[in-house]
Amino acid sequence: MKFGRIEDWCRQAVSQIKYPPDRQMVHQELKAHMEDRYEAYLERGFSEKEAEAKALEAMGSAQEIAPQLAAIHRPFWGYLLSISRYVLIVMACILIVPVFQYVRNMGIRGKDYLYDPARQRDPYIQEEWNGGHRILYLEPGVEARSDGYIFRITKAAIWEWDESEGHMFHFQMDVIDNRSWVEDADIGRWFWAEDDRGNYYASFYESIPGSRYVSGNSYRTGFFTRTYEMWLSGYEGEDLQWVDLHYDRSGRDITLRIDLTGGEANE
Amino acid sequence: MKIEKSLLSGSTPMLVLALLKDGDKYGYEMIEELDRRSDHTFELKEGTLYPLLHALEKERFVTSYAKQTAGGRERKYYSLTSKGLEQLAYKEKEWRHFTTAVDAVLGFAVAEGNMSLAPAPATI
Repeated sequence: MKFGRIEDWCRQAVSQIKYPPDRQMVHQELKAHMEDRYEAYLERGFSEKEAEAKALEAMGSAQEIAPQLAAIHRPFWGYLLSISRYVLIVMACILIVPVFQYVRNMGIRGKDYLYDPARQRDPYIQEEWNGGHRILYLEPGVEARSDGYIFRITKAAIWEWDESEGHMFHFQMDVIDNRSWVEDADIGRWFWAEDDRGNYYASFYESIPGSRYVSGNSYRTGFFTRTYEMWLSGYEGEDLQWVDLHYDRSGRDITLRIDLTGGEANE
Repeated sequence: MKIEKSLLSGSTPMLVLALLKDGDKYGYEMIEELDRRSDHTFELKEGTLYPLLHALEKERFVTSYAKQTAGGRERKYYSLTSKGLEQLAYKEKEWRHFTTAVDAVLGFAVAEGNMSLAPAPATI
């Protein structure tokens, strides 16, 4: 084989370089040099065998330069780059499964409303619920922004129970937060309300027993959406024109008005 | 006259930078040029040139690029950077200082242009 010993010499010289691209590059450079030298000796009239021996002699000891080359070729960023590709692939594989499942279950914006995942039904679109009947239903669609959230009242309803003469003021609010990984799942607890008759409904945090207050539960219903099912505790069936919901957590008061005059009456 | 190895070892980086001052070269070419300019005085093992070149490249005194030759062989050319040029100027100054001092100790008259070994490289 032509250049057999030269090839061996080069291989030995680069054997201690651990980073493969560098190893290959240095190998190629050394080999090109020795081939030039070899051809120069051939031109001077030496035999192939002599030319090879003289080229090797001129290069010196491969063992001697191997550790020197290895000490120089330690590219930290090169290592990091070559590893990072595999790390990224593995991470993508791990991430894709839950993301896929989440999107399949929820969609990107979330299902319209998941009232109760266990029962899979929505009380707002039924006229009868737990023995009570709905006397008012409307879709206010009012929206406001604060603290990076978008609040949207999507539905509101009033139920009445004939036997107990009890009432319930229900509404549904979507909270959209583009930074859902840092979301505050209790954002609904900051809301307080007032109605046109001067009743005050305290927020969950400031409520005292026996008073009127805003209360509710929430469910994550999409990547960027959490849906709150809320009610005004202490509501006694007054005939109301409007209810104002307030959010003033960071000092700026925003108001969402549920206008009850335009609703679809069931009675 | 051959020169003792240890006399040469410290100044080889300077010689390599000087060789690149008048144009980009690949390793073999540099050895040939060194041989020619020094009139075969330096018996440098050719393999040792490469750790030296790669170290200079790591320090950004030289850069390299690959170029295909007419014969189809790929060669790695080295080129002096501005940082390398500065380093060379510094090393030359250091060398002059050193040789002047050695000459003075040995009792030689210091004359301008008595560098018998290597002619001063052409300036760009």
